Amino acid sequence: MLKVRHFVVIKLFILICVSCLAYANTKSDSTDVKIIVKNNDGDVLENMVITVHGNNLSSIPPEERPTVKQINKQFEPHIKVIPVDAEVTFPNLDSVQHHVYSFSKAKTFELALYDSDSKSNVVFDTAGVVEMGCNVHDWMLGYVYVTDAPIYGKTNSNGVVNIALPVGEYSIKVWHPRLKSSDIDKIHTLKSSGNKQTFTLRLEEEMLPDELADEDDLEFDDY
Amino acid sequence: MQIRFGFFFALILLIQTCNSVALANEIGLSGRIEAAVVDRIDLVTWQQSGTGILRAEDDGLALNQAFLIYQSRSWKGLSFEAVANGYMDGEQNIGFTQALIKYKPLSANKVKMKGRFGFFYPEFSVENTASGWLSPYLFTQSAINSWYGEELRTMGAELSLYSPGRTRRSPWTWELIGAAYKGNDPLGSILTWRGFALHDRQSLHSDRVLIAPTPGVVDEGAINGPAWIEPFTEIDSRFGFYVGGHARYIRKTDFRFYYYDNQANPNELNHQRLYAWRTKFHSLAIQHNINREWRVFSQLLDGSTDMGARIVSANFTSAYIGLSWRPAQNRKHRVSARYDWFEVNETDNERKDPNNSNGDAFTIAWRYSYSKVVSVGIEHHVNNSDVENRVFFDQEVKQSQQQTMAVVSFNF
Repeated sequence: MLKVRHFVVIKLFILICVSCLAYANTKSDSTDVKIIVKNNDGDVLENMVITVHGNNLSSIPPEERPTVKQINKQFEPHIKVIPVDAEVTFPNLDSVQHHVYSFSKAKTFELALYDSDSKSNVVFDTAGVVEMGCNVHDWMLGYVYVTDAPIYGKTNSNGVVNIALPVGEYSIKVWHPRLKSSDIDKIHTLKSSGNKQTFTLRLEEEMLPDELADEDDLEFDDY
Repeated sequence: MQIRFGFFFALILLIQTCNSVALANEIGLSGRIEAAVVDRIDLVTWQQSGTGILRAEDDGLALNQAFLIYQSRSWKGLSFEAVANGYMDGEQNIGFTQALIKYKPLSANKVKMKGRFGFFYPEFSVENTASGWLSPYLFTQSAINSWYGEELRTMGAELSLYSPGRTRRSPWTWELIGAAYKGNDPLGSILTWRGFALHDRQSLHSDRVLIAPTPGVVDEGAINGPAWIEPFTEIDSRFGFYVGGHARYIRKTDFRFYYYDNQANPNELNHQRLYAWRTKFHSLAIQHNINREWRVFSQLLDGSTDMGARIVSANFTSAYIGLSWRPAQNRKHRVSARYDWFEVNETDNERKDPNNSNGDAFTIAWRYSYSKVVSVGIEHHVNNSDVENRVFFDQEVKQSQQQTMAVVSFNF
């Protein structure tokens, strides 16, 4: 009986040691990488979608309740990045009717959101860009970027996405509705050394003019 | 005086009520009540058969606007909208200014289609963009849009082809419009016999608008017509039409051009001795956002009208330019100013019925949105007008009018 107990204790000890080693190993493999996106003039760019592809990468935990609001007759956020099969909630926070739709290949849908109590969910099961509009307010424009990449993010106001990567070589892609196709198609290679590092991703071409996609909140109503 | 106190008390109660309830949604019922304290230089308004070109009948309290809007939910791209107004001035006090079915189907095409059917305003104006066809800038509307509001409405069908710029990744959005309608045959009569006016009194669906009883209009030996017009009357059974185009550069600059022809037979008249007036005009409107704070807006109207076998005929022209400032730090304030110029030139030779008129006007206003429900404003307006037929009423042809208004409004 005593032998059995010793055996269980030893097994438990070994298991704890192995787990600690594995954890230590993981920690030492993953390092913080700061990705900065800049245009060809060197200015940092906000709201740029970054996807990271590579072997044996673990997926980042998905957002619990991804949401795209309709507020002040705009989509908020303007660009939402989600993994494949994520379910996005579309609440209407305006006191006016919205009729959200998309005819994109990655997802075709239509939501009639009549008032501020309305919300609907949509599951995005195909990777790709989903461009959304509103049939009531023609200028409203928003995007859901559905990705099968294990690691993804969107640059902040400093043009930065912070991610953790194990040592290795990875492919990085960038997307924004105003990027030209050569920049969208380009694959950037990032070598993670195991030390903290900054990776600057510079666009090759000028972005399309701002007014083609993003519009500010200037009122310009019809009647 | 007691009535005025009672009115104020009712308004205060209404403010409390409106503040305590949630704003109505665009879907369902919404509305506006707008009251003003008016101080003006006397000249009897056309609404009391006078020759004044401003709306207010007296100094003191006035109910500028009271309307309810019903907007249905959209079903398969179809929706219904109606605007019911109540006025204390004028000949008809309750009625509709608009009632229409809108059709805007969802489409993946780059060029889309939409339509409107019923009783509604053509989209000539860049001034009347607030709900109930009011202006978000000034309470007293431009001479051009005051005329549209009192004499012009589409009772028929309008179809548009449009292409939002973002579907083509272009900064330009365009729209082509065509419409056919009836029930606008007296169009041009008020304009010719009274001249342009500046106000925010829209004619209701079966309204009657008074004009000064000039001998050339009412005398038996002359036209022998009534000293009023029912603007939305069908007299000759003909369809009128308008065609137009909009071009918009992002949400910065908007151009609108229309050609309008009511195709009326000017020799037709009805049992009330209301004539059909053949009225044609060009309308151009431009709005430009200079930056986030400043906006300039302008319209030009140029046309002609003809009644009988050239018994009465005239050319009319008007233009305005307006400037609006809305500070970026506090979007609740808005200051706007507008200069109007207007002219009616008679082209017939009937000297018993002189109808030349011209004038100009300057209007400036500050508006403040205290909340989504309550807003206030102060407006000062001055105009100078020469109206030839004032001689029949022992008045100087040249008159100047001034008006100051303090306005409070409740949106619900």
